[in-house]
Amino acid sequence: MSFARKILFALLLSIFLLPGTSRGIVYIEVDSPQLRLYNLAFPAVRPLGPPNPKVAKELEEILERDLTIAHLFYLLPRESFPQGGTFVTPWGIDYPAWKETGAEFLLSVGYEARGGFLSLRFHLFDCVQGRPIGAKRYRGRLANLRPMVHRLMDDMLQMLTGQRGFFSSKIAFISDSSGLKEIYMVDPDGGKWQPLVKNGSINISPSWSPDGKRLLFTCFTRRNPDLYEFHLPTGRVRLLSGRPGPNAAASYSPDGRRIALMMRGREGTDIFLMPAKGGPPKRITHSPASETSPTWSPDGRKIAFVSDRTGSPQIYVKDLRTGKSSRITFVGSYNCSPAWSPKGNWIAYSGRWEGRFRIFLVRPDGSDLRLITQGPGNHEDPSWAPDGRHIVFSSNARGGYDLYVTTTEGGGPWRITSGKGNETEPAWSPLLGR
Amino acid sequence: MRERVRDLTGRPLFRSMALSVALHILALSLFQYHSLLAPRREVILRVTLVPVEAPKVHKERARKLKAQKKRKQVTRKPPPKRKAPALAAKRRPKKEDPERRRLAAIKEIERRVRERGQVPPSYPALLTQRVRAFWAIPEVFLKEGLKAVVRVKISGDGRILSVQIEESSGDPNFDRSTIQALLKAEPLPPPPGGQAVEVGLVFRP
Repeated sequence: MSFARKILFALLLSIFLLPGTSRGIVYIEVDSPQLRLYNLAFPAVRPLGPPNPKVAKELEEILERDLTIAHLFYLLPRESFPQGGTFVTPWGIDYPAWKETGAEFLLSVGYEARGGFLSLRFHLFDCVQGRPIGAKRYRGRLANLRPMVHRLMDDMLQMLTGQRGFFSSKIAFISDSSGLKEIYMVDPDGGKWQPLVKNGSINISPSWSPDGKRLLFTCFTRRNPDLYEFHLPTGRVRLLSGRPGPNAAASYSPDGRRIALMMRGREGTDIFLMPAKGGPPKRITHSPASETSPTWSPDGRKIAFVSDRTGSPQIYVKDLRTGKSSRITFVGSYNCSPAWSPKGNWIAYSGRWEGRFRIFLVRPDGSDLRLITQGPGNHEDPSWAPDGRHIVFSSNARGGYDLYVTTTEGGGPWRITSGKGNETEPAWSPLLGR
Repeated sequence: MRERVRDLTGRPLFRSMALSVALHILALSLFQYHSLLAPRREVILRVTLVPVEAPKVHKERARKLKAQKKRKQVTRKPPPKRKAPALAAKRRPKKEDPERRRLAAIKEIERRVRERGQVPPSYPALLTQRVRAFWAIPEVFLKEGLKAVVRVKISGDGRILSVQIEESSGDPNFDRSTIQALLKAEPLPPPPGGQAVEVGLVFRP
């Protein structure tokens, strides 16, 4: 068959085979969703054995606090809830009744406290699609109620969003409530304040190792600000760097093999890299100005830091492979304390804006600058939660410095400390105990 | 050796004939199936065009329609007439011109409202409006370039017969918000003609 005949044949055939008789589907555009939190039905926790009002109250308080700080949920008023008094399970749930309340999701929690032990159960439902999302049970000592609830919350968030929660982590910080500057840690919701490093001296700039087992800090116990490492499981403290001059603002590389820190250079201070096991430090900034506050990108290839080489403190990003550094902040005359998000997509920092320090976000290439905090006082020292969305910072909005948690969208902020003294320099740990 | 028949330009005649037939058929088929190329029009046309074209063809129906229109006009006219004299009577002695202008403006607005009222919003517009009103998502899940396509079968009375993700956005939170929006919006506006339809909804924030 000739070429032309083939074309003719194909055309004739296609006319009869074209889906002309079956109607084409119509596509309709839908845009502009409401931007709001999920409506969550969270009925009171139910006893699965003999009721224990004290335990129930504590559970509720922690759960509500965590749900609030997670900043994904609006908790619906409980008066309108159906199925009152029962522990809602997939085999007894009345989906239409729950959908009627306007709830998108339902979280049902049950507990049983007996003989110093606690078991917890939860069920999570999609009320609109009318199906269970997940469930889990926990058992432990009653004394471990708080970490159990945090684990429940992290699991629940994982099931719902695909992103694990961050409540099984700690925030280390400096407090002067004892008259000295000592290191404490606290749960992300502000619960369980506990001392970490008490050595009767002045301590600054705490920073976690990627495995959450070690904490770097700088201490003046030998008069000179030296760098130490605190091993949490054993409580052992080790001197890492004691060069004359500051050995401060240290941070572990994401693989845990190297430590970036600020030390005295030829002129001013510079950023150095040293092996985590010890060894000679290597200088990586060479300007005559002062450099400080190194923070690693999560892939370990770049370091953001502060330099005053142009006359005012600004944030720069240095590529460790090419050795090139580029300035990324151009707004404001005082930008400091950079913190690279664990997802790599943001650098948070504290910048002076209209006379006060505020928390800003900027992309690592310097684009997309956003101001995420407002209100009275200064907002300083941002540090990222493991989810790459929540940020802790210290602020003197109420007089003394306290720690606050916010999100990249500017949620909250929720105050998590209320000590008599000043709580500053928060460092959010990676997820712990997994 | 057989001589090939050639056309005026000297090419084999069969080839050019075949080509011309093919092009004609292509043009014809395009014309016939143009609805395939612009599938979106199909539903809208069915809704809006029929009442306008019908009177031209059938004189009887045309007369009926006219009668209907008259009836409508009769029922609609009184309210403005009643209002107008009342207003005019009050203010006429003071100022003539602005008052007349105002009345003209009111009449014009009423005419426009009447006109708009006669053209019902298209079914896709109704559907978009309804679903959008129920679509909600926390800001944290919005990213650049999100898009999900959901295919939904709607019964004659607006019930959802089936719903499924045809093209995922890649983010389960975004996908779920679109399905939830549809289910919350149920019952959807009933399709024109009370016949079940299948539509694709393209969700883009």
